[in-house]
Amino acid sequence: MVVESTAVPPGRSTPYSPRPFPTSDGAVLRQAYVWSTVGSKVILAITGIGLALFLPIHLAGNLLLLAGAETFNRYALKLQSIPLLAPVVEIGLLALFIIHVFRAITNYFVNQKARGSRYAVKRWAGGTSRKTWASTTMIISGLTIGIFVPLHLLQMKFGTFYPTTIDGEPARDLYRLVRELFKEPVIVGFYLFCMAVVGAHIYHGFASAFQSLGFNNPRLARATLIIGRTFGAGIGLGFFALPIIVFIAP
Amino acid sequence: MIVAPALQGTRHHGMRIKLRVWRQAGPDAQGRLEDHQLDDISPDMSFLEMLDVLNERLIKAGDEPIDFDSDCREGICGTCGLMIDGRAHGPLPGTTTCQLHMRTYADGDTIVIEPWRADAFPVLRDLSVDRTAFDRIIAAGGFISVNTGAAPDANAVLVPKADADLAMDAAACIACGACVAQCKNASAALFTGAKVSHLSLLPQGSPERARRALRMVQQMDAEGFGSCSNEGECEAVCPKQISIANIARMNREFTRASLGGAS
Ligand code: FES
Repeated sequence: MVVESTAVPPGRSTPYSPRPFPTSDGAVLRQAYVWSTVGSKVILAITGIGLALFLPIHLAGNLLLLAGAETFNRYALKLQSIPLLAPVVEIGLLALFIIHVFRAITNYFVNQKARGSRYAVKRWAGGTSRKTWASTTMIISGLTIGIFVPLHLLQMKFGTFYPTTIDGEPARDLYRLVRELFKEPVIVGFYLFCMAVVGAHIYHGFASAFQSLGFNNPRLARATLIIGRTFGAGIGLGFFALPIIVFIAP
Repeated sequence: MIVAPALQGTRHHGMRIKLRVWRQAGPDAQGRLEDHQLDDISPDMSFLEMLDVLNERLIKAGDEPIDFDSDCREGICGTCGLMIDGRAHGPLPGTTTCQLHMRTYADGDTIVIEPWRADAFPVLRDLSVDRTAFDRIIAAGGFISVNTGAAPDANAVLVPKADADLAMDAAACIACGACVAQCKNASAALFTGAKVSHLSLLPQGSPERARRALRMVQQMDAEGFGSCSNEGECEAVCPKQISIANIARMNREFTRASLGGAS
């Protein structure tokens, strides 16, 4: 059956338009891929994994806070002194972040449109389903992280510059800034909430990314599910610990 | 005959079931839930027989019967499909609506029945929806090209047992649309994934492999189905329990076909 009409058929909000495939034009195929539902999920998966992999590194660095001002500030200075490291990582993360957010939002609207009308009654399927509160709230947790990250950068990276010296060299006393911030109950509460959200996002997102990338081996798929959930919980709890420890520390 | 008082209600009058059924006169009409009370339902009836009973009563009373789809009524054709209390095909796993029986319910239960809801599956009337979007996805690439004539020898093309099993599992899809109905994004990824997998796993399907993945996914998107959030709600309601591993395989096939220089 060949569908010629692009008029909106009865009962639908979108017209269907048959697309002229196949084509041997690689550029056309690549462009179509990027805008397809499958391509969008692959892009979300790759950018999401990239962003998630940054978190354990970030967490490990932050744990140096527990080793005291000297060690932490020295670590911060060291990171800044490696040529190109900071700018490359920052620009890379920013690019991943923007692509991830952009594609998630465009996807969200496609999906909203696809389910035109709501059910009067809708239940979770149970059984083998992976649906969790984390998976149903990905767009909300994602947007929350989207708000958190700029605020976090404003507070920390672009926050007050307390000068100090390490081995006679001028350096930034980041330790003091973190301590000051995490003595504020409101800020601690805000961070705890956001870290729970990050954990939840990874809890579903990690295995979801590998499924999108085509990991169809059942054992591997189950492994990614368990690793992803553990990873999400671990990241959430790890980042949870810091503000609490700093807050209660004398 | 002496009937124990406790049994009178159930033995004599069967189960009492309250139904809330979606009624909609046509694709563009406003729909609503309509209440019905049935007092004489046998637990041995199938869910659709229960609706038949209701329809006969409606016809006798001069009302419009409730429109719903069914054909084989033995769980193999995929024609039936109702959203029952918010679950595609009802509460039992691996079961089509026609294979659901009233013994699953208790006397006095209220059951809400709705049609599949997806922009790509417009409601035609009451509980029946237009699923020709699936036909167009199949027409786009869900086929293999063979020469007609004498039937080829059964074992002329050897297929590894593991591949044959995976292809057979995918081929079990009866295209009922439950996956779309249950998915929060009304995604047809499980259906399309099953169809892409079923043919692409076999040597007979390999000549059109890249083209098939391209065209079927593109058609799926053009029909207005959403993207896959990997929740696996589809797999859990699928009457044939088709695995979302088929979605992962479709993603690989489509990626390879799009980026790997397809014909
Ligand atoms: S009517 Fe054929 S599967 Fe239910």
